[in-house]
Amino acid sequence: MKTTRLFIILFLLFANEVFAQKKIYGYIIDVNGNAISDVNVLLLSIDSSLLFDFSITNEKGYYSINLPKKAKFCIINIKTLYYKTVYRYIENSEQKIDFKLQKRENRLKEVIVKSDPIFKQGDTINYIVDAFATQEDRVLADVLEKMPGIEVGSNGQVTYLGKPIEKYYIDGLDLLEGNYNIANKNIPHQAVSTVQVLENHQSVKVFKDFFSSNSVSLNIKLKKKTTFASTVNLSAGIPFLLHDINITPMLFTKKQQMLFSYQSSNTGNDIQNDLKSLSINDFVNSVENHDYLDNFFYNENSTPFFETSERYLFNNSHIGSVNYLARLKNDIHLRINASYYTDKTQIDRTNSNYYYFDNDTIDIEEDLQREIFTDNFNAKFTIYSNRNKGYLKNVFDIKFENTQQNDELLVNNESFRQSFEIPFLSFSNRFHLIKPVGRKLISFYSFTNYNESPQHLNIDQGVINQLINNSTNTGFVQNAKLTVLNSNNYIEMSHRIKNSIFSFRGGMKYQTKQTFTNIYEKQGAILSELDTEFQNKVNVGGEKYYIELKQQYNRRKLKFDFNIPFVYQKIYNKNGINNYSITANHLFIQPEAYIEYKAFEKIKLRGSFNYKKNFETSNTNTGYILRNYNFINRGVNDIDLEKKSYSGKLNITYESPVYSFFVTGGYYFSKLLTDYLIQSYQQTSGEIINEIVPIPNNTSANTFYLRTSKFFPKTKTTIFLNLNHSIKEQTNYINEVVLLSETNQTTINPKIYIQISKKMRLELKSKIIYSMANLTNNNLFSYLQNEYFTTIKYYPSKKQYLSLTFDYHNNSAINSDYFFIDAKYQFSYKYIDFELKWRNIMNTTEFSSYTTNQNYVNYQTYLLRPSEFLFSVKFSISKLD
Amino acid sequence: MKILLIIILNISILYNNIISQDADKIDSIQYTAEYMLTFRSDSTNRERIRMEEMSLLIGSKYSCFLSTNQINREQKVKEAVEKAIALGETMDMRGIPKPRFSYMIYKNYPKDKITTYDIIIGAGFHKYEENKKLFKWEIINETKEISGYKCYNAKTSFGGRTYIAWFTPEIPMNDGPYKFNGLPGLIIDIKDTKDDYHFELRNFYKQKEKDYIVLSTFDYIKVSPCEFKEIRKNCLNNLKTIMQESEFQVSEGQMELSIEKHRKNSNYIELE
Repeated sequence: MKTTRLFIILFLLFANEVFAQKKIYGYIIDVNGNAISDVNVLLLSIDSSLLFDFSITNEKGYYSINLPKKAKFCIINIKTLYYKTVYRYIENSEQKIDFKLQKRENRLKEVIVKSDPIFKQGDTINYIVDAFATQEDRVLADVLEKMPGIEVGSNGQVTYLGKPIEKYYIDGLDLLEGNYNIANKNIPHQAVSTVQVLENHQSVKVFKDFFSSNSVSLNIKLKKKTTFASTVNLSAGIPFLLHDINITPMLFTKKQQMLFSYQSSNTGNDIQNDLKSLSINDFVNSVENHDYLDNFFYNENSTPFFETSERYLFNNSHIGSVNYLARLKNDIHLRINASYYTDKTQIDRTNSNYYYFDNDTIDIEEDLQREIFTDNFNAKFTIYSNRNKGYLKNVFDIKFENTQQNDELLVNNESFRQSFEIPFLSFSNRFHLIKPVGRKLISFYSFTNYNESPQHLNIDQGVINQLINNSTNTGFVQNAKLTVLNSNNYIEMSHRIKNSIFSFRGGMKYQTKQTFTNIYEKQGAILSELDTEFQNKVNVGGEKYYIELKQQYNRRKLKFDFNIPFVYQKIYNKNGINNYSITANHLFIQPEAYIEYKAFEKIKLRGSFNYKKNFETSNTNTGYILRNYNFINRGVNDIDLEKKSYSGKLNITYESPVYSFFVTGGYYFSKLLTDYLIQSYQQTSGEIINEIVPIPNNTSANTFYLRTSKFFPKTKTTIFLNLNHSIKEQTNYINEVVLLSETNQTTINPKIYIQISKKMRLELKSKIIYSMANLTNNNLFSYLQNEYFTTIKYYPSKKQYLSLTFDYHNNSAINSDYFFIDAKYQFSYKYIDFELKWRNIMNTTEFSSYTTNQNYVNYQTYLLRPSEFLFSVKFSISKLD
Repeated sequence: MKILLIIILNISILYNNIISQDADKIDSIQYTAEYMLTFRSDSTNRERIRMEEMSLLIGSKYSCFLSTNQINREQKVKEAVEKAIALGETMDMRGIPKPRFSYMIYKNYPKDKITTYDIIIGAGFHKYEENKKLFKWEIINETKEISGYKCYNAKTSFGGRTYIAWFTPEIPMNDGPYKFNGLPGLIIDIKDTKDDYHFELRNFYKQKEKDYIVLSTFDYIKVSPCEFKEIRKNCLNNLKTIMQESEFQVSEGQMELSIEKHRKNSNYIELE
């Protein structure tokens, strides 16, 4: 053994002389003399900034390194996993050095590189939740609002670059559809790994290779396959025995998902919001299919512009919600979403309206105390299968609602009462089937809805005496009933040719709407019918036959959609009071276009345009209908009144996930042209009588906007800036004078979340609105409204959290200054948070706002919630398998 | 990917008895290096950028480089098959994420060789051996700190592409992503000059729980590296015939979409 080694050394020595370049060579052995192979030997410059050469030892432990030409001295560095590291200075001359390495296990520096907080994969933008979460955050919604590009509105609506999300998936499953707020507010953020924004998301799988989509959806990716989480929040406070309870358990697995919730609050927490659909699609569907409640009454339930309802809402609400989704064989999903809501809300406000006419002003002072009792039940049963082979979805929806509203009023020093009762019952079924047949897709859609609403209004006295002209009565009663039956059915065929999809849709919409109303005069306890001018027995309806020709082109950077619907509308109006009957029919064309162009990967340009023309049938009640104590209106028999609308949008978006920077800006306009105008007679008594007159007119709106946001990961700082400018023009016909009104409004909305030090965070928000309205030809109104919010969050330790919020509101028109301070202290013990809240420390109990509208300005003073203390115990269990 | 899945499924059902064997543990994992691979699979559409998490499992003798989703995938598929057979149900593969790359590269297995196990769409399981000393590195004298490691720079040509690599002697393993090896330290970052394939180290950690580098229990047909590329090329050109002859009934439209997809994804890391 020794002789062979010697022989090799001799041979190598000899060989080295042959080569021109000088070398360092030798053997690396352990203490027992065994050769060590695969050892890295590096030859470095003295400051180790340069690597001259390296060698990896062979199985005999031999290494050989070329020496550099220039350096005088070098370093030999030998680093291994299981031996002591060697650094040796050597002279730059050919030599043989053997190393005997001492055993020692080296700990290697480990690195867990945090992934970028935001990264893009195709059309998906991933936000790592932990990168945005701070100590006080508990649920997903807390973290979501700090993510650049994403915003959470005060009602809980999530938008991405200003676009509302279509779906809110939890691990790819759609448990809640549009009612995602309940999940967003209750899923502990620790259970979530990433929030994915799915751009151009096509939720129907069969469509994937056919139609591209322009909508945005959100997917909440959970950390574990099975997640059980529960939010429990119990709060009590003074004064008035305040309580706020939230118990929301949830379970998410691959096969089933469930979320149950019971909440109760009288602290101004608007829990009803959790049950509202926030999806634009749901809203559009509802409008198109008319399955919502058509309220006869004018319920002006405006609220002051606070970010949180906890300032002004005097509620006593309970909600229960059951959501269950099971994934069965063959990818069939069954889902039940049921909820119940009951509430009693009180509103106390004064309202001053100044109506401006050419030579006159009217001042109406109204003092209102209102109680609203609401009971809502809604259940939705869904079965769906969303596969590449086909799509099937059936939704059966039941709604039962009842609203009872009692008002005590003082109008220009006259006091009286009114009460409304508005029940609503609705059933609907929506069926949708899509099947691919070769290269074609065939879909069938059917929607049917029935709803009825018997409504009741009772007024003591009231201001409408002038019209009815009988001073001896003691008030009015109005009974009304609305019955609506809707149906919409179509068949669609799509075919792909190269980069284009052509589709053809043919269908029929049917609607019938029956309205009965009758106003009675009260003489003590006796009710007597008024003449037929105050009655309605109207049946309006008809069919729409439509053919839609669609082309969608999609190739690399360019995408465009054209849609040309031809609608043949046939309508009838049967009036049972004046025995009048009329039919009308017409062919309308309603083209739509959309174009999208991607430039430089990060920039997207989008544009869209649409034109619509149809009959307007909502003003066919020829008898007067009471809408409020001071508001009565009636329509006309004509049903061939036309309504035309144009709208267009331009948008440019820049997204850079790498730099966590997002910008979007654009312009949109809409123009509405109608054949008719609502004529308003406004009396000095405050009475308003609206009637329809055939005067062509138009309304237009133009808006410019810019939204930008950036996140700085090192300091966990996010900056947002939103700008908005809108111009609205409208024609009003008031007291037989045509008035044009123009409103210009500019809104600046900056927001910053900043980490000042390890123990302190600051949140600054402000909203500045400048509004200028030209209400009539001569009257100009302008105001500047400022709102500033400052929140200081201080963390004395990992278990404690203190926050102070200051908000300031000012309106230049009424010269009002409002200042609010809220304080919160939170102490965490294991998984339990104890929280102490002191709201409205300054005890500001009134708030005034100022708005301009058509030809009047409106001052409202609301009663606010007084200074309140709340003590809460919160814990969120999140058990992961 | 779908076709690939079907092939895997088919074979896994056919070779059910093989599957019931335990995977062959060849080494215990000492360290794991996780890389993020950003790549352009479609050379005609440079905007189509994909990402895939890859793992280098470093044992005391061998190392294995594969898509992170490929780790223990066979075991998971096997369990799903067994469950499906036991319950008489259709297979549920949804919980098993799909890797974008089916290769598994074993370095130093056998000694001084690299063995690549891969699936050719339309032809099935194949493996080939190469010499471990595939790379001639040229040191470029630059240093840079990446993720806290001091890194040096080197250049090489391989498979028709030129690569720039950053490696750190602080991790004294002459290993790297894909087949890359032979530098005096772990490769932290490597990309080709066209920016088609870019591996970046995300995580590097010592194995805490005992885990193994395993060999597949499937029968991989042994071929030469040249044969492998030839078979792959032939299959791609004749994918339609192969699919028509297979027992799986796929609609014409779906088949064409799938073929188109595979053609587009043929910007392989090794061009030659």
